[in-house]
Amino acid sequence: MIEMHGINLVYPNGVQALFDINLYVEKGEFVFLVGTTGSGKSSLLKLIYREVVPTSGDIYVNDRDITDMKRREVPYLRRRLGVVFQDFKLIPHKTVYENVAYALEVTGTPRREIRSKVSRVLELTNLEGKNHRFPHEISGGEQQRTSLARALVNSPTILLADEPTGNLDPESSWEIIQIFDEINKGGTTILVATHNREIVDMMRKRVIVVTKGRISVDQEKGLYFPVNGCSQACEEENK
Amino acid sequence: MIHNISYFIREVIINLRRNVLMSMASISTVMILSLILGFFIIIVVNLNYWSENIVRQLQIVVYISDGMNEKQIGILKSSLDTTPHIDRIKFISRDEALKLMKERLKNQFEISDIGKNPLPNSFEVVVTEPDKIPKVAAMIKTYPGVEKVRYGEKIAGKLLVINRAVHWIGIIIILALFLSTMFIVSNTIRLTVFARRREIAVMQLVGAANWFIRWPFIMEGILQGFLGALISILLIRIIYSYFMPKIETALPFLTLVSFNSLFTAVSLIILCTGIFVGATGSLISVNRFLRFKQIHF
Repeated sequence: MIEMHGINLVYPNGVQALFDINLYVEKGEFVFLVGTTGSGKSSLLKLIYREVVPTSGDIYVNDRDITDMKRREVPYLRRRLGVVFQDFKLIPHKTVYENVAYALEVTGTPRREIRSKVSRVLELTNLEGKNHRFPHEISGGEQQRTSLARALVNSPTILLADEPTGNLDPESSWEIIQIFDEINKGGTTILVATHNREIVDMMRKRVIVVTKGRISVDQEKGLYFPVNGCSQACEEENK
Repeated sequence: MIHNISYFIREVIINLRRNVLMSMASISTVMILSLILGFFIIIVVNLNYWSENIVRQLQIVVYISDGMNEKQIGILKSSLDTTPHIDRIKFISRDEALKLMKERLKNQFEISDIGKNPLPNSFEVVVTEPDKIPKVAAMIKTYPGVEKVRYGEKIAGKLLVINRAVHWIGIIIILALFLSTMFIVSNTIRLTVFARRREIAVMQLVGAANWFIRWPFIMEGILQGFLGALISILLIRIIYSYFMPKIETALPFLTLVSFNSLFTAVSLIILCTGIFVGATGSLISVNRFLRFKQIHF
């Protein structure tokens, strides 16, 4: 599903964000990426939706090598992924409905199909009745659910989330994570980069700790601070 | 394809409505600049027309030596006929010349008592291009039977220089205005696109192809340019048809170019400029943001 071999990533300003990353995520897995700010977990996600291109190494997404992908092929990759961000990235002058529908408009989906798919996904994310609201008229939690609805409306095989609960209160955060869990049960692969210790510990999913651009711990049913073999990362966090 | 076009049109209308302030900024910028451009075109065209009219009245008078008989005059006429750059030739006999002179000086003094007619026979020669007057005059002077050639050398020369200056200054002013219109309008449109740069980044993240992002912006630019140009054309029409009769009564010697003959050309220029600038302004700025990569840590 997602494979990375020997990934190094150096940004144009010379900062190396990732060092020799090897990663394998199977279809239907639920993975938490944890680590301090600047550890490289966001960069790791960006590689998958090709916001950045690795300096060296190979990345396979859905069995397709995306490192040599042409620019005009990138939109097609992104349509098969759902991405959720900390700052929601909604289009401010589009309504909730239009924001979600946009992900289908870009694929040329017929209007009738758009209508039924959008209302289904708005139901799943508990946003019924908010269709005609603009992002600034709804709460942070609702904005994040809108962004999640947009990520899901194309029925992606992989869902990526970069600090999805970073701007939310605990209740809204929990609501989001439960939707993730539900989607995951339907077979969608999920990668969540997070700082939210409570959620990670509660879910007991695979936890990958990224420390200074390297994967330091990779545990099934892990905790935010791994019990065995606490790495340098968690020691740093413990301080 | 049809699905996309209908989507783009809906997008453009929604965006115009929801970004009212920004749209108004672009439309009014196009409008004001087109208004200025339009009026300058009209003024320049009128000035040109006026100065051309004056220059067109310039003609060469060829005085024929006394004692030339009709046959000799006929030969002279045929050599004038074959001279290049000559538009029309009119023979004025000495009798006619006297009659004309009498008419002109009717109220000033009595000339009926001038016994013998002192005036010579002459030709009035109108040249195709006023510029060619000195050259043609010099050539005619060499023909046998020509006593004198007159074309008001000094005044004609000055008028020609002024006429040419009016022509070129007009072209330069219009070009400069045209370029600054392009520059200012495309800058304003660039600002409206800049205000939506994050939106463009989001569209890319959701998997929109670049052309899919680009088209609504271009169509919006075209519509804004078109609307601004249209309003300015209507204003020009109203203002010109209001002031033209007033100017013509106040300055009767100044014949203005009738608006109808000008209107189509000016409208076309303004509309095309508006649409072109709207389209290229958005295209350039959208492309800039499509290529723009934000890097976060």
